[in-house]
Amino acid sequence: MQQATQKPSSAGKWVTLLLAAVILLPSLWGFGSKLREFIWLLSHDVDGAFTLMPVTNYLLASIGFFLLFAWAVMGGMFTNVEQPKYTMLEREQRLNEQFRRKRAGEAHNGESA
Amino acid sequence: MTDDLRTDLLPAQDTLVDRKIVRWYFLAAITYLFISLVGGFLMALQLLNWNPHSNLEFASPGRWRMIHTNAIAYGFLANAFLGALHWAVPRLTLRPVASRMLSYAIFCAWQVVVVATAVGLVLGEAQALEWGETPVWIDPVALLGLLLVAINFMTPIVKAKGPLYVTLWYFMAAFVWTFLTYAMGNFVPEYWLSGSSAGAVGGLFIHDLVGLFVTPLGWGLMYYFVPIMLSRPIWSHGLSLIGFWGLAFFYPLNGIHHFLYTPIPMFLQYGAVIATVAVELVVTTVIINFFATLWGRGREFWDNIPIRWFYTGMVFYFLTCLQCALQVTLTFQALIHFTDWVVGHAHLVMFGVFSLWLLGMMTYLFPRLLGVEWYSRRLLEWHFWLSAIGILVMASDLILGGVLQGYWWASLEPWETSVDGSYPFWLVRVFAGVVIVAGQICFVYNLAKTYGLARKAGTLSSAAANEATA
Repeated sequence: MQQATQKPSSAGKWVTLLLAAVILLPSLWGFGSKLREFIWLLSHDVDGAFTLMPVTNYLLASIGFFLLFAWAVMGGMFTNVEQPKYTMLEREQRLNEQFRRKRAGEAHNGESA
Repeated sequence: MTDDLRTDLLPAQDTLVDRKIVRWYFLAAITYLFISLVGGFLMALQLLNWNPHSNLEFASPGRWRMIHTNAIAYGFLANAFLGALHWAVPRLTLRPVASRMLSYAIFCAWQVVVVATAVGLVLGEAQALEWGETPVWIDPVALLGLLLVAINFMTPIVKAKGPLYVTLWYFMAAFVWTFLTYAMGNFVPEYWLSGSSAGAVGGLFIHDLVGLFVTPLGWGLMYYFVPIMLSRPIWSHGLSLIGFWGLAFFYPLNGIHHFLYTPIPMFLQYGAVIATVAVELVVTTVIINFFATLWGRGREFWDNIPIRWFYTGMVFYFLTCLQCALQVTLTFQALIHFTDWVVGHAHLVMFGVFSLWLLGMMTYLFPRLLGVEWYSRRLLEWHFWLSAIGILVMASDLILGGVLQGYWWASLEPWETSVDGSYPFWLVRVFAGVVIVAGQICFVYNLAKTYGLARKAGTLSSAAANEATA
């Protein structure tokens, strides 16, 4: 298994950054322009208040996730962002190893008896 | 190595995973899968005017269609997910669920909820909301059940040390989202809103049920099962987190795209369109991540049956999301709205993706739950190929039929023209359904025989199975 301390290649970093830019920038632009339209509608249209219900639903969900994201960043969850994938796999292998040992031990006891 | 990972300090398997509850959930799921298939079959026959019992009100295809959708969502998917969660969460966190007794109580309560929903629907007692047809009095019980599920699984996740693996992010989100989504869809339109506002919330509900309940659990489990089966870590954990947070921020607004061209303000409709396209970009990163993980080990796709289920589901997932990004544009929507395209899309998502993944998980886990190998690999192959080919034919058939229906309607042909033209597509759909059912019969027969082997070997009890499958 690869070591947890191995650093990602620079090519990997660039691909990640490129994908992040390709995904996030158009999305932010889209949401930003729609937010501006929403504020205009809310303040100028007689039925503007109607728009609040679904938007409130969305904000309730997304604000919670903004807070969670902020908590995760401040809590160091993304300091070594690749570490958890190695830890997870190692745990699984250790669990399997534990069971193998237990079975081997019991087989040995059975033979001794 | 941290103390957490030292083999001698790991909790014993018996204290981590309760294999009996996983088996119970899986068996319940398979039962509801068959009920759902019967419901779908009756509806498909009705479209061909072959309704076998047209004079029985409680067996009317309209009611059985609701059983078809509810049984697959709350009966099959929910039970199978709960079973898989009882396996994955304790192994990922090295801690058992909050309470085993609570697990069994939730199991019983959830079966009561699903059966009561089915009985209510058969008797004609349904809420007027797609996927929220559960009779009104069941809603609070179901919501309480979802709260208890969250408590039972969140306890070990919250206690887990160190940065979380992406699967646990998905699971945490799913427990919160599912509770909120269910409350929003079943209570807000019922008691507080009406008209277009209720329609907007209904749109959010039906789509969020897929995107915020099924999707995070499905992908979370993929991020767990694929690496452990390939014995290699996911290609990029950072990219997987982009997928998770992208889903979190872009998905909740998607549902409005079910109601394009309605009185709902256009900025919301456009917002839903943009959010849907953004989700497709996020999905692309997830797909890249999984295929990069498989890179160099392509042979596993053919040799390892669960991996084949998983990656076939991923290909279908990419196709459904691509389809989604296209069909939510206003021009495309004008053509396919109300047509069988939508039905094909829904089947591709629910069976072609999530059911395929869950059947793959069962294929992987049942030998570990029963302590014996599968009775027949050939039957496993038949199960996969009949399911995969069946859903591919069914979805392609309905999608193509939907496009033709859209053109017939757009050209203002008489209604009968589109009905007559749809007939061959509906006929093909029935046969594709028969193929899918045949695949599941292979699976159940194989499972029954494997149970027989486990009984003979004496590995059915939880402890014995732990030893035998180590």
